[in-house]
Amino acid sequence: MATKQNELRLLPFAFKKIAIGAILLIGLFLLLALSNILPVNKDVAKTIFKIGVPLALLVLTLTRNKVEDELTLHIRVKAFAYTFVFGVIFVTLRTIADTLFPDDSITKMGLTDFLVLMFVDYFINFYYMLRRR
Amino acid sequence: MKNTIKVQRAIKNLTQEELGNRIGVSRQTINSIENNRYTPSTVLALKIANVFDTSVNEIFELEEGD
Repeated sequence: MATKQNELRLLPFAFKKIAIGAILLIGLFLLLALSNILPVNKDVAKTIFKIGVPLALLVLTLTRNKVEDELTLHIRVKAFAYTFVFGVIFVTLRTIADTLFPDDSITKMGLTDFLVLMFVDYFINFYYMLRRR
Repeated sequence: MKNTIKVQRAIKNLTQEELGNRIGVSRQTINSIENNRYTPSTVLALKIANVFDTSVNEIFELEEGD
């Protein structure tokens, strides 16, 4: 029975190493640029960081684990759902906080920061449930 | 849904790892199924039954409230 309904098209496991390597390289690049070791425009380095890190995290999210079976898929989908709920609650609370404290710098979060926070929440959910399976 | 995988494994002298390898899932997945933390798909249930040369009904049984 060649049932494919329980499959999610994910990238091969090797992409995990590529994504982690990319995050480390981009982080190192930003660090060197900010500390004036590399003669690069700091704004350009920040832009590369803001584009590169979410993309690398997306690749990491969409990469299969070493052993990917139907329970892993079940956990993956659950983690996506929890992260979505977290995102909605976060945006709602932030909107309220922005209204109540318009000058508070804590509530000033960029889109990249929000995306990274969503990815971090996803990884915490996913690996926590994976360990407890 | 209760199951008799643990008993069937003992009869066949199979570890969770060996059973997992035979049907293409991890040891943790077998452990989750055995302890009723995860209900397998029909395909996986059939694969488990195949390993033990029996029917799905012999391994999985509905409980009150299922």
